Amino acid sequence: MDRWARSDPFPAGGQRPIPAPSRNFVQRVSPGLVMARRLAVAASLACIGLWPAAAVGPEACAAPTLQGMGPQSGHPHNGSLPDGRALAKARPLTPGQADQAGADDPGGGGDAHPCQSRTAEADTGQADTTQEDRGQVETAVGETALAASPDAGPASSPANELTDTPDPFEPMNRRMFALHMQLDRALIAPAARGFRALPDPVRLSLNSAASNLKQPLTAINSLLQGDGPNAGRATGRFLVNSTFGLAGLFDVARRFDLESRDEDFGQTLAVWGAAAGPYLFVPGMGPSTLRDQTGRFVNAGLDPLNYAGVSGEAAAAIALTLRVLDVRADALEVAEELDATAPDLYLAVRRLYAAARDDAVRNGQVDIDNLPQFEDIPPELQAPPEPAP
Amino acid sequence: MIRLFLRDTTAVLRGLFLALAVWSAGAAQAQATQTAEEFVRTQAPAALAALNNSRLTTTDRTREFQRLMTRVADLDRIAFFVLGRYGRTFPRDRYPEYLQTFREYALVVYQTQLDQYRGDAVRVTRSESDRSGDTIVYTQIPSKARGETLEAVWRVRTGPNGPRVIDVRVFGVWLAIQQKSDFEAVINRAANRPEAIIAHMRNFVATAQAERGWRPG
Repeated sequence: MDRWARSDPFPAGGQRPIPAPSRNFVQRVSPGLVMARRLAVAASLACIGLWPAAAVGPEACAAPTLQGMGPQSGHPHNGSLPDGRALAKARPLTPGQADQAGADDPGGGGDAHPCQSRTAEADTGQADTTQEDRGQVETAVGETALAASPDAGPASSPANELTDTPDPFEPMNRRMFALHMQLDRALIAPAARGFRALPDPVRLSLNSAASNLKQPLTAINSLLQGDGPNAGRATGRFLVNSTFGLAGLFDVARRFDLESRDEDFGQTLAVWGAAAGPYLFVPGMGPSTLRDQTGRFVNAGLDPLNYAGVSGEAAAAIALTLRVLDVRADALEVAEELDATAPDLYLAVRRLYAAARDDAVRNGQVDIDNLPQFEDIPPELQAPPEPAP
Repeated sequence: MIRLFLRDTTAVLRGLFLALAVWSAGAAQAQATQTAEEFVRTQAPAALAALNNSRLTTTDRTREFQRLMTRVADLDRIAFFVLGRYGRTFPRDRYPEYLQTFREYALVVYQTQLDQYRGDAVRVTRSESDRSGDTIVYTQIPSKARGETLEAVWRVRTGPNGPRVIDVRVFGVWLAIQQKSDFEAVINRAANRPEAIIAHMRNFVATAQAERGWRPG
């Protein structure tokens, strides 16, 4: 009888008991999550293999958006990074390059690329901003991923507005963007305002701890990019701040000039030569491209925190949340400004994202040979000299 | 024999002149680069410090920042640049009005963008020249507000009035280039009427004044 009672699956009046959440339950589920993540990594790597055919879409899409950026373009700076590493063979145009493209098409509306949809609805909506963060600049733009202007809507955008990054899924992306903006307005922006209200020391410590947890990923990606010094600095930061800095709450490493640039797998792929692929906007995650979105999946697979058991995964989740809040809090005014000034917020965010990611891949090095020229002001437009006091 | 001597001498002199010209150009470029670096090192912190001056009222702080930025940045050149392809077709009679509005607008935008950079000294890390002779100055700014070191890149053109900033890159984005794209989009949406940008800027400045208490200097 006792034996039957112990094995009875429905001891309480035939009803299935509801197990109380426990550490054991989480631990049992955790391997499944890890396996699912590894499968995602495998799928992501498969995507990379299929990239040329699947990511960029019609072959013609590459031509106008990637002009002059291939190693074969003959430009001394094209095809390589400042430190000699190979750069993605095909990258989206920076704003400066877009300017030049625009100059080639003074009419402005001329030869729109077939990849660049002009049919998107004027649904960019309303709202503030948001995004997640996993890369230094990704955040910066995400920081700028903002509110939508009420009157926004691309009636007809000039060609150089649309040559920043290929966007064959623009109609769908715009819907996702509108959804994301609503999410931001309802949840992320208010939370960011609350985060900002914290006393500065508390906020800085939380930010420092979150930043510290990104260092292992930065170290790994730096190594994958052949950047040993940055990998060393990231490792040093992590070790110093995790110990002397009390789990990263205090940025002790900074006093020793141990500062590193954030690196993620999207940047690694770019350094390896992967094209950005089509622009993707994922609600809750912000702007991305196929390359960077793949990078996000792989980041999860590469991040040592995710292999440190439940506590590591929780730490990674908390760090990401803190980072998003911090970045969003810093971007509150910038977001409002962009909301007020950008004629089409969706396009502005996309363009800023492309520029910021380009900057991250180049590690801040300016592509000086492709900067647009500041022409001299025609004499008839020059302001009269100010009278002497 | 004499002809051969003269020909060789001429060739040598020509080579010397060429070398001298190249050296002079290099020296002038190096001088311009140094001047630009010094300009950023001294002038940028002053403008950023104004944002951090707690002794001033909001209005005075804004006014001080804008006064300094007017001295640091070549706003007239930027104003023409951001019009892009519409610059040369802009109605001449309305250009002074555009210029005045742009100055107010740009200073409000710069204040928003650079507010995150208020901190300690601006540390120049290096500089280089682009193909048009502008100097690109890379700086690092320890930000107290963010608890980390931020990077800003300044594009400086040296003209008759000395060096002036014509663009600044924050978080990987060149502000003037971004404005140019936005302005062209606004004008394009207004059936290619460049004057529409004046209304657009006025609307923005008015909103900033109402919501943030900022006033053009």
